[in-house]
Amino acid sequence: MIEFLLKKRRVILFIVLPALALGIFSINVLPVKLYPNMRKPRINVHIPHSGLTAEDFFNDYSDIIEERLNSIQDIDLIESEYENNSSRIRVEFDWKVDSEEAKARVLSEMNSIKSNLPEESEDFSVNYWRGQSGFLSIAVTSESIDSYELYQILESSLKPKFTSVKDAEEVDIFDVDDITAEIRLKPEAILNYGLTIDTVANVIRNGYKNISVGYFDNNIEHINVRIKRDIDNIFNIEKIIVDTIGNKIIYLKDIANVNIKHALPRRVYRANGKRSVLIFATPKEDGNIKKMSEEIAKIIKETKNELPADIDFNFIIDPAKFINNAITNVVRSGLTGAFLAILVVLIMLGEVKNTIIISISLPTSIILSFILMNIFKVSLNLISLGGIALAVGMIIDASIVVIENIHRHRLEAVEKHKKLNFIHVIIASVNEVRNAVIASTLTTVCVFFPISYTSPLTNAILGDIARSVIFTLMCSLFVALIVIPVIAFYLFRKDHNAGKNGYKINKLQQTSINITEKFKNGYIAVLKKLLYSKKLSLIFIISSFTFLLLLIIFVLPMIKKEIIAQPISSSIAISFTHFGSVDKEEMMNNIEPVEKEIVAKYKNKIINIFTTLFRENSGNIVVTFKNSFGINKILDEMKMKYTSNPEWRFDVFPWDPSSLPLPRTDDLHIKVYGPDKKQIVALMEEIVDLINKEKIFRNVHSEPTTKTQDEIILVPRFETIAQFNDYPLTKLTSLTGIALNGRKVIEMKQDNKELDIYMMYEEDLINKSEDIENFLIPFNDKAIPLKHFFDIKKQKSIPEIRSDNGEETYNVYGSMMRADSKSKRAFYEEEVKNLLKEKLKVPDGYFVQFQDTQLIINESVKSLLIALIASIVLIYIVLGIQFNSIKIPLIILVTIPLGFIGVIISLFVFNSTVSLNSLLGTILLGGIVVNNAIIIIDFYLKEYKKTINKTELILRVARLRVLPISITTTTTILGMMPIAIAIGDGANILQPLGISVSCGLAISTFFTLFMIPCIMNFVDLTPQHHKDDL
Amino acid sequence: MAKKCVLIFNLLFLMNFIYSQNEVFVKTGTIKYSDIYDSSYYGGRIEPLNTIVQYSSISGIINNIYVVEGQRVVKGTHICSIRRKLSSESYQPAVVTAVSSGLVVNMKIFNQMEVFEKSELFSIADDRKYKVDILISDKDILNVKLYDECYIKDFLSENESKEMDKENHNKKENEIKGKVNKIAILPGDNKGLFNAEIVFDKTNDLFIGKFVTLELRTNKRNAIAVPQGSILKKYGKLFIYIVQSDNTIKLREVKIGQNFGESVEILSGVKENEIYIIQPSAGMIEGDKVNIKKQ
Repeated sequence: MIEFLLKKRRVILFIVLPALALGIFSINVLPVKLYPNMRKPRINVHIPHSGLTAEDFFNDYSDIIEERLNSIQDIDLIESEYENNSSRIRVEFDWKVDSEEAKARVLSEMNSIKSNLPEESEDFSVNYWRGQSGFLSIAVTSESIDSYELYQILESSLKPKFTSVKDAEEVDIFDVDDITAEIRLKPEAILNYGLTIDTVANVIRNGYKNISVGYFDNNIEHINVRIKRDIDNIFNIEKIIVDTIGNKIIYLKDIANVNIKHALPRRVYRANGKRSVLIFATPKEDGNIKKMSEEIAKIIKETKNELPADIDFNFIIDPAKFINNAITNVVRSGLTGAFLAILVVLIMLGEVKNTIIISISLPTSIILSFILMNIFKVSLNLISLGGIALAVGMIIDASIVVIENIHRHRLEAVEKHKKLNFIHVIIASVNEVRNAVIASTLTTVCVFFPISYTSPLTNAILGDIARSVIFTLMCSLFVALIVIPVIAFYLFRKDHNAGKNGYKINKLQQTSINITEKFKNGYIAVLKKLLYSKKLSLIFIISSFTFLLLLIIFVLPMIKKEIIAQPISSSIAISFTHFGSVDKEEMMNNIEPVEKEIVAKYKNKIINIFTTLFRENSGNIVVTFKNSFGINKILDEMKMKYTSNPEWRFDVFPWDPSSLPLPRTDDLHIKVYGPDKKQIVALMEEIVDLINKEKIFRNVHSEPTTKTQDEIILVPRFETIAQFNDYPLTKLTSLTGIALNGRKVIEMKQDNKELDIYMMYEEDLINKSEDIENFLIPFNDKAIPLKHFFDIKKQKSIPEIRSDNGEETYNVYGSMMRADSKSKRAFYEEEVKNLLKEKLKVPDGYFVQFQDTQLIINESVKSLLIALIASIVLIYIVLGIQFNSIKIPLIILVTIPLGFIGVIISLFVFNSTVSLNSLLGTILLGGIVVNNAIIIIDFYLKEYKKTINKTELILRVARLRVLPISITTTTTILGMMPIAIAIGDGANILQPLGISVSCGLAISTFFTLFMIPCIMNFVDLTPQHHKDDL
Repeated sequence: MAKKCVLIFNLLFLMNFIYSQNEVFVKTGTIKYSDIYDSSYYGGRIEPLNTIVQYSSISGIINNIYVVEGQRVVKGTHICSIRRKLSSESYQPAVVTAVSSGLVVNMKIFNQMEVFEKSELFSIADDRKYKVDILISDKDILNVKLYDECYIKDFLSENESKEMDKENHNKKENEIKGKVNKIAILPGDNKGLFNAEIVFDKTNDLFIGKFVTLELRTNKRNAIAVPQGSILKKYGKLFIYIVQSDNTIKLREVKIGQNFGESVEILSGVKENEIYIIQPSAGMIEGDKVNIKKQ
């Protein structure tokens, strides 16, 4: 193969160059997201059923709905929350189902049962969670233009252009002005004129529109006839004529307060201390969020010239920035790692041309890997990009081994004055290491395969890292065995053909030869002592494993555990409530000094400060700093400064819009089972009270809530109602409904805004059950109370019913105290168990069961450990096949536990955590560390001659392989150094991985270089073909 | 030594501060007996208590009208004169005088109008007292007795009531009180509604024709009542938090009676003068120490 390629070497150009072009093309078409999917597709169904209690709706409709939803394919869980007036159902699908597809399935089933639901439930909504897609938000401000005008400018100049952004699901410009309209009826006035509210509602509905009364044809055209009502503007609705009594015309304003005014919208935004207009965009599910953000930014840039000069666009949340940061991190890690690795190659091999070849192999492998990512539909996201950054140090390993061997053979040929064809020299060099390189790359790739079969969460988080590493390594293997020999041929052909005359050792080479020789001599001297004293060897082997055991027993439990490290944010959020503010205008004035104070204090460090007012007296401020350096100090300062007092309530916390969307886990979860609901609720109440009393967990609560709700039942007195021709039951129902909650009477359009106008009574008309009983109905110029038509009963109802897959559930949840470490969770749970055992009397037939809250984490860790074992087995099989031996793979595998020594020490020393990433690092380490042993043993078997003393042969092989092993190990460690040090925002996600691999590898290599020769010395490693000869 | 003392003092201060931070501020009430009653609301228009219709005693032509409709007159005031149609001219026109003091209403005559004997001329509304006719539901009728108190709801305009609140925090004193004057024994029209008449003294706030909402207070008695919000439902039973002398709270099981507006009658479980928590918070636990909010 190699021979063919070298003879037809131009073929390589025709393969590699188009492949590189395809790789570059793939980068542009790959979907770009913030994160891979880390949560199962979850569809939320919201069903309004105003007027129906949780119990009524549950009894009458839950079966129809849940049975139908249960028939959908690939459903994992249906969680239902039935509440008074509305219910929510969460349908969780299997990981493999696409969110849009899941939504379509649920929508279709819900539509099929629409006619079986009560009328008010037909407006149900079906949505899915979009958290991991990310979003873009831009705050627009201006010094000279007020926010109302600014909104109009942006709406007319930018909104039409935003429709061209293909990757966006929607781009919104949030209005800064809202029109509020309400009709508050005056009860006395209504009674005075003997009107009923539903007649008023009808009059309003029909009173403001022009009425079409018909048409005629005048032989030329068709002419419509309409009656004009003059009320075509929302501000005129108070002039609607409600009734005429004698000569007196009664207008709407006579019987109601009609309040129509411009007001602040539901949410008010302020950027850098000024009112701002917000541009908000979300991407399509399979869209490129980076492209979306960039296109929007481009549109803004292009349009800016047409806009007034002082309009400022502040990118508050810019996903393109996060992804660019990640790419910068990858490039920086890659360049730093590559630079360090190449430097090592230059020092060790002392030749610039070798270094050039290695430099070419790195970007080539990465670019080619994008083709595989495209084929296997791996998106570009912060995790997969991290995987590529991680692989930088490993990518060049195969190339180094190949180039080092070519280099060595070339030198040998020159030194020994052999007149060999250069193609043969290269073929011999490549063939010599080919199997070892393939085996070592395959072992690394092997370790990642089991990850695809880990728990779904682990696969979701680590899958993209694993896949990107596998792809880059496979490409690096292709480059090392196919591309590198050809480039080497071109670069060294002239030198080789010139023989010794053409090859002069330069100063750099001489220096590197001197360094490497000293290094080799030192290593061999120590190894010689070990090998020639079997006692010393044995002590070394036993003490190493004892040390590992001690680390596992004593140090490992002391290391913190978490699912995955979260990135350190460069933003701080302050949520606030000002108890004195009664409207948003006042709130804006009150929050302004706080904004100014923050800006004044951190002027040079802040990029922007963005405030959102949610309600008339609360909101939050997000302060974005230039970087996360010193952010903890600022956080502490702010916490000290902004403490709650009778006037304000503050909560200061780090805020990160690009945080990993991990599934939430509870610290305490207890389920109560039993035959009677009332008894279960009483038990739950007692459990909550007992735990709260002992203050073991915080925020202890039950789901469903144990608080019952009062309910008033109006039982119609049909005999009485029958005597009132003006008041049939339907009319009484409608009157009561309006009296309680009002009713939408018209929809109007004003300034291009759709407005729903509600008619209702004064706010305090009905505050207690007595008020409903005494709600007055006009009759014969008098008024009689509603209770004349109804018997009124009061009862308690359960406001909430919860069910999982159709089974009603009763749960108690709790969270750990903020100051407590998560590692004490099990201890506190045990305390609760003892407490309940001691103080809770559980009646016969009832059960209190503690749920495994750490299930998802434990499953992940467990599945990763299984993956680790599976990867070891896979490595064993690959090596068994490679060496055609049962014994040799076992010797090689000894290096894996030795790697754990490095992992445990480094995680402990650098205060890092046992997380999915550090576990992945350990698995990855297993794949890398065996490579060194493979190279030594492979060479030993190749060099084996019966005549040579075994120890001497081991020493010779060790001397030969120590250099490439040192170079590849150093390059891998240096390549990962930027990740281990965590340079750049968000880089700390992968830090545990970088630390565990780099430090583990350093220590493991040290052990490999001494341990493997020691073990080889003890074991009979006669190659199979020599044995066969015997 | 001094340094140590300062340190200990500071430590004690800090402990006291932390301890006092843990105490919860609560609003409390005292258990006491009070007058409680049921309220029922009805609506009707203000009318004069008596309206006397005056008829013509002779047949003739209205010769002169001395008053205008709505004019206040006293008993004996000349209202109009009637000239006999068929008699000789020597007869002076007959003068019709007001039989009672009050307002002249329902004028049915004009100059030169022909009237006949016993035809209705006008009415005198005796507005020294007002009445409101209402229709009482059969559900309330057994609880309503003659001379029961009755109040006009929200008779003050919004501004007036605000001013009143500032000046005098007790708005009740300004209520217009009336009483049940008549109750029909039989309901009318098979609708289960009984006619009743409520009488009020004349005040400046009322005028004839005004539509008013009336509050009938019935079923009066003296009992212990607490706000409904102070009653907790726990473990399937009803409780109230009682503040003990050491400011710790204790759950006391209670039995409740009827609801009265926002209050509920307590039948058993508490004693007079005990202190209870008006709105217990969700996180409150028996044994917690509380700080009573000054009101």
